[in-house]
Amino acid sequence: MRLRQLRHLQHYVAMIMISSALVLSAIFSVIAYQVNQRVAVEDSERQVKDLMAAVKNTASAAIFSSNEAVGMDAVNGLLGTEVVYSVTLEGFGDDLGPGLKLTGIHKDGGAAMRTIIMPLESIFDQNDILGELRVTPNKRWVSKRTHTTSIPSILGLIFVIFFVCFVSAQAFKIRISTPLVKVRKALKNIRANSDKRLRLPSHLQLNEIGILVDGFNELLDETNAAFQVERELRDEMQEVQKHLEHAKADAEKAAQAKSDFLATMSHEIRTPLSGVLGMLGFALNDPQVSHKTREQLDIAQSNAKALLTIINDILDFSKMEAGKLNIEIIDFDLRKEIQAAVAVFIGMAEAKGLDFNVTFDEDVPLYVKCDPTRIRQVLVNLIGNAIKFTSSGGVNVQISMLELSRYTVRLCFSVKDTGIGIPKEGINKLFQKFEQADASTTRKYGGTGLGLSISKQLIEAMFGFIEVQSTPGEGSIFYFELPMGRASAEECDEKIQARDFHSHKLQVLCAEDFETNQAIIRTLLEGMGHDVEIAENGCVALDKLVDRHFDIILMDGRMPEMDGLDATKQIRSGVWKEQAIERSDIKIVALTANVTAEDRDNFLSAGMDHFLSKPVNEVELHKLLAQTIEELLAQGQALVPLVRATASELDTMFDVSQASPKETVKEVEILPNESLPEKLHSVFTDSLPQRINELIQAINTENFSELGRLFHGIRGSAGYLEDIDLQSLSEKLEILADQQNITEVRGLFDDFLTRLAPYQTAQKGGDHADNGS
Amino acid sequence: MKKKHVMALFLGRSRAFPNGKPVKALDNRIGSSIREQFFEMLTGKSISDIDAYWARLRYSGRASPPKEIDNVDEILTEVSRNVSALAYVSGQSPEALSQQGIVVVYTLEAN
Repeated sequence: MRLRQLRHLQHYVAMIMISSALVLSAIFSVIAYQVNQRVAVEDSERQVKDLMAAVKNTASAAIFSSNEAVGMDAVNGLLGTEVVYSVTLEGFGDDLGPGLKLTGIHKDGGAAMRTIIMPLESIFDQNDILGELRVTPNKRWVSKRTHTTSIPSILGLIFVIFFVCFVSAQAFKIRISTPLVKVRKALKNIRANSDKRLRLPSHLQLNEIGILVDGFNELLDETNAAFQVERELRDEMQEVQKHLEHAKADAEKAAQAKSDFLATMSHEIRTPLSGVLGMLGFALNDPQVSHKTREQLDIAQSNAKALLTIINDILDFSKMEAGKLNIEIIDFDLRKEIQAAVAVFIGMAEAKGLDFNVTFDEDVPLYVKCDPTRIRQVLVNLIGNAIKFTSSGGVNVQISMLELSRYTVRLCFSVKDTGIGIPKEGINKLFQKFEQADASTTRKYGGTGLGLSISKQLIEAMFGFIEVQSTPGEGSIFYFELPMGRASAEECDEKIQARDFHSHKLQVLCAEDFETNQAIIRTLLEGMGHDVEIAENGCVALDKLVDRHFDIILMDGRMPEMDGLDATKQIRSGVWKEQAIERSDIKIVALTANVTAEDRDNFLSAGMDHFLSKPVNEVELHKLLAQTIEELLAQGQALVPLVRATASELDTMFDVSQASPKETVKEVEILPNESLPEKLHSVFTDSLPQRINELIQAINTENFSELGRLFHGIRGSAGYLEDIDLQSLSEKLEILADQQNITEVRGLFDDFLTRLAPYQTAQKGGDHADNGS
Repeated sequence: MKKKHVMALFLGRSRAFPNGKPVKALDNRIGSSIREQFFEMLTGKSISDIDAYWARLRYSGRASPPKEIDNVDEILTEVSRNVSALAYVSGQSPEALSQQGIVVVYTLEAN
C-alpha cells in the first residue's frame, strides 16, 4: 500500500516534469518564433537593400536619361526576387529632363511591409537628387523564412527541454524515491531489539535522505536504549513481583495461621469453658447444694461468664479485623430481648446499691427486624461499663423512637449513669482499640479496652452510630441509633410459641468427643424429648449410622480419629466399611466453636446442612429441630409423637443415660395438638377488653401511630386465630390509621366491634365455665 | 550656358538648348585623347565610367549617344554647316572658330 503510494509519488513527479516540459516548450516556441521572425524581417530588409544597391546605378542612369526601358529593367530585376513585394522608381524631373514614375508588384502577390526608400542622385553629380527608389519587402517571404528557420529550432528546444526534464525525473527517482523505498524496506526489516542500522550508499549520505536516515538511526538507537531500559525494568518488576508474591503468600500464610490459631483458641478455650458453665448451671440447679456452696458456685459462674465475655470480645475483634463479622437480620420481640439482656444486671446493680431502670417509650414498636444478638452485645457492654464505673446513684436505660414509617423504624438506645464520667481528652480515645479513658482506669477497673471499639464497629455494621456525652464526676450518657425493619407480631409469636415444645420425637446422633459437652447436649436434647445417641468420633458415628436409623446428626468439627468434615464426606458418599449407609442424605448439623465465615464455607462444602455454634444456644437448637421435624413429616417420614419429661425425671434421665440412653425415653405425657391455638385464643380474649379501651382512647385522641400499632397487633392475632374477616378488617383499619383518615376509621369501628363480639362472649362463657367448675 | 546644360546635352539627358532650340551633339572618336580629356573635365569621372553609362543604356536597347566623328576638321565642318550641331574641340581660339561660323557656347577651363 505504501509502496504503491510511493510509486504514485514517482508518477506525480513524472507528471509535473511532463507538464512543465510542455509549458516550457510552448513558451520557448513562441519566443523562438518571434526571434526568428525578427531575424527574417531584418534579413529581408538587408537583402532588399543589397538588391537596391545593386540596381542603383541602372536606376540612376534610367532617371538621368529618362529612359523608361532601362528603368523597367531595374524594376523588373528587383521584382524578380521573392523578397521584394513592390517597387517604385520615380524621377522628379526638372528643366533638363522630364519626370518618370515606374511601379511594379511581385507577380505572385504577397503582403507589404515597411517600405525602404533610397534616394537616387545624378550619376555625374552627387549633390543633385534626381529621384528615388522605393522598395517594399514581401511579408510572405518573411513568414516563409520564419517557418523554415523556426521548425528545427523549436524541435531542438523541445527535445532539449524534455531531455532535461527526463534527466531531472530520473535524478529525483535516483536521489529521492528509490532511496525512500530502500529506507522503507530496510525499516521493515528492522525489528525491536535488533542492532541493525539503515545503511545507504555513500552518494546518498550527504543529502537530505542521508540526514533522514541518520535521524532514523538515532531514533533506532534511542528506541533500542529505551527497550533495553524497559527490559531491565520489566525484569526488575518481575523480580519485585516475585518478591511481592512471596511476601503475599507469606502474609496469607501468616493470616491463615492467625485465623487457625484463633479457631483453635476459640475451640480450646470455649469448649472447656462451656463445660464449666454447663456444669455450674447443673450444680446450681441441684437442691441438695448447701447455701454456702451455692454462693461459691454463683461466684464461679459469674466469673466464668465474665471470662466467656472477654473471650467472645477478643474473637469478635479478631473477626472484625479479618472482615468476617456477620450481621444477621431476624424478626424479634424487642422488649423481650432487651429485658432478657438486662436481667443479669438487675442483681449486679442491686448488689452495688444502684438504681437500675429500663424504660421503653410508649411508641417504640414491639417487633423489629435486626440482629438481636449484636444489639444485646452492645447493650450488655454499655450497661456493664455503666455499672462498673458507677458507685452511687443509678443507671438508666432508655429506648425511644426517632422515626417510624410503614416498614422501618429508627430507634435510640441510651445508657445513662451517674458514675465517674470521662474527661474530655479521654472521649476521643474511647472507641479506639485497646484504649480506655486513661491508663489508671485499667489498673482500677480492669477490662480489655475492646468493648467500646467492638460496640462501635457492630453499630456501624448495622448502619447506625454510637456517641457519648460525659461530664467528669457527674456521669456519662452513651447512646446509639439504629435503623431497623418493622416485623409483624405473628412471625415473632410463632417462634416463641414453637420454643415451648416439639410435636414429634427425633432420633438424634451426636458426634462429640468432649465428655462435658456430651452431657450438656444430651441434657438439652432429652429435655426436648428426643432420643440421643452419642459417638466419640467420626468413625464411631459412622458405625452407629450403619447400625440403626437416625433422623439427624449433630457433628462436632474437631474429633480424634475422624473429624466432622471427613465423617460428613464419608456419609455423603453412601458407603462405610463396605456397607451401605441407608440415609446418606441425612441432615447433618455442624456443632462447633469454629464459627468464622471460612469455617462455615468448609462445613457447607463438605456437605453439612447447618451449623450451630458452641456453647449451644438452646433456642436455636430448638428451632432447628422443629424445622427438621417439619421437613421429615413433609417427606412422609413416620415420627413418634412428642413426649415431655418433668424436671425431676430429667435429672434421672441424665444419670441413667450414660449407661443406656435408649431407656431414658419415657412416654409421660402426650401434648394435645390443639393446645397451641387454644392458648393463643385465651391470651387474645383475656387482653381484648384492655385493647378495646386503648383503641377507643386512641381514636378519641387521634393518636394514629398507636391506632396503627393496635390494629396491626389485632390483625396478627386474627391471622393466627384463622379469623379471615377480622384479619382483613383490621388490615383495612390499620391502613386507614396510617393514612390518618379518622372519619373512615370511625365509620368502620362499629363493624369492627361487632366482629370482636364473639370473642368477648367466649370470654364470658369461659368465665362461666371456670366459675362453674 | 552652364556646365550642367553642357553635361546634359553630351550625356543624352537633354536634346535642346535652354532657349528651346534642338541640339544634335557630336562626339570625337572613341579612344581619342580629346574625348577622354573632355568628359573627364566635364563630369569629373573617367572615360570608362562614361562608357559604362552608355553601355548600360544601350543594353536596354534604346540609347542615343552623340554621333562619333573621326577628326576635328570633319567636326568643324559639320558644326559650321548644321545650325543645331554641337561639338567640343581643343586648342582652337574662339576667334578662329567664329571665322568659320562657329559659336562657342561654353569654354571648359582646365583646373
